Amino acid sequence: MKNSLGYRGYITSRKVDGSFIPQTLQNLKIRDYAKKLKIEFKLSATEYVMKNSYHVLNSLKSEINQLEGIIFFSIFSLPEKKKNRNELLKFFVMKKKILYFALEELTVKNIRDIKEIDEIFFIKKASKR
Amino acid sequence: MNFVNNEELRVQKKFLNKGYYIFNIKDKKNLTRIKKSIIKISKEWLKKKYKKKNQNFTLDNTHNEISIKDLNSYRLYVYEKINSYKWFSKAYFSLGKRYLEMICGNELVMQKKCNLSIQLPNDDSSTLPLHSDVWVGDSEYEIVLWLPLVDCYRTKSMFILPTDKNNKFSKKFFKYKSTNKLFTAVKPHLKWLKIDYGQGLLFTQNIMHGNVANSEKGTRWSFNCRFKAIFSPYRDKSIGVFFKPITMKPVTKLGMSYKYPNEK
Ligand SMILES: [Fe+2]
Repeated sequence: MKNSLGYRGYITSRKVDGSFIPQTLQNLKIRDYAKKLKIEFKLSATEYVMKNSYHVLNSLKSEINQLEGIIFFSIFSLPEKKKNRNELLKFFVMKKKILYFALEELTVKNIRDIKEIDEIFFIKKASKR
Repeated sequence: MNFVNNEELRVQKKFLNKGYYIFNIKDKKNLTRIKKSIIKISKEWLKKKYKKKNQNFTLDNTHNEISIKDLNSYRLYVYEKINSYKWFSKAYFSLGKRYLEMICGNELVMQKKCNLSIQLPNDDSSTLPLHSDVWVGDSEYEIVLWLPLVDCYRTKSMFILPTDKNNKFSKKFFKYKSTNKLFTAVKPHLKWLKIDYGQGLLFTQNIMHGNVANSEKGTRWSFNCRFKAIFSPYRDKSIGVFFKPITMKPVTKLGMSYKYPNEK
C-alpha cells in the first residue's frame, strides 16, 4: 500500500448514465480498481436517491483531510451541472487530493484533468440531441 | 375501515406515532439459542486467531478480547457463520413474529442475511451516520427488526428522529447541503433508544436514524434485519437477491400455480 490514509469509495443510489447498477456491483468495481492501483479502499459512502442531492458527497468534504482521496464508481455520479461539478472537483484538487473514477479508469489531480471531464460530459450531452 | 382488536390498535397507534415499537421477547428459547451460538462462535474465533481459550468470554466484554484491527474480520466470521445455520432465520423471525404481523403483515419476505453490528467502546470505524435507508434505495414499505444481545442505552444504542420532527426536517432537506449539516440541525431532537437484552425493536427506516461512536463501558452487539409484505414495492432491494419469502399462504400458492383452462 502506498499510504495509510486510504481512499473513500463513493457510489450512488441513482441511475448512472441512464442505467441502474446495483450498489454491490458498484462496490465490486471500485474494490477491483483499488486493487489494480494498489491503493487502500475504505468502505463506500452511498449518495441518496433524491435527484440533485449531493449531501453525501458534500459531507466527504469535511472528511477529506483524513483521506488520500476518493474512488468514485463513475464520473456520471458527479453533478451534471458544469458549475456545480467543477466547484466540487476544484475543492478536492486544491486540497491536493486524488480522485479516481473506477468505471472510466480516469484520474483527476489537477485543473487540466477537470477539463477532460468537462469534455466527456459535453460530448455525452451533445450526442444525445 | 380497520378491523383490528384493541391490542393491535394500541400497538399500531404507538408505532405510527413514534416510528418504532419496543417489545418484550416471549420466545426466550430462541433468543438464548442465538446468544449462546454467538458466544460459541466467538470462542472458536478467539481460539483460531489468538490461540486463546477463554471460557469466561462475555459479549459486553468483547473489547477486552479483540483488537480493533481484527474487528471487521471477526465480525464477518460471526456474521457468516450464524447466517449459515439453517435454523437461524426462522428463530430470528420468531422473536418478533407477533408484532411484525400486527405492524407489517402476515405474508412476509425477510432479508436473506441478518446484519450484525459490533461496536467496541470509543471505536469510530463502524459508526453509521444519520440516514434514512429509503434515501439509499430501500423500499418505504420495509420494517426493521433490531435485536440487541446486550443492554443498549445512550451511545451504545442507536438514535432515531421521532416521526413529527422527521417530517418537519424532511421538508427542509435541500436547505442543508450535506448530511453533516443536516445532522447538526436535527441533533437536539434525536432520541436515543434504550433497549435491554430480552427486548426487540421494530422501526421504520423511513425516519432518520444512525449511531455515533460508543462511549459507554461495554461493547454493543446487535442484529438488524428487514421485513416487508410480499406484494409491496421493492425499489432497489429485490426479491431473490436481497429478500426471501418466508410466510407465503396457501391462497397465494394457489394463485401462483393457477392455469386458466386455455393455458397449458
Ligand atoms: Fe438504517
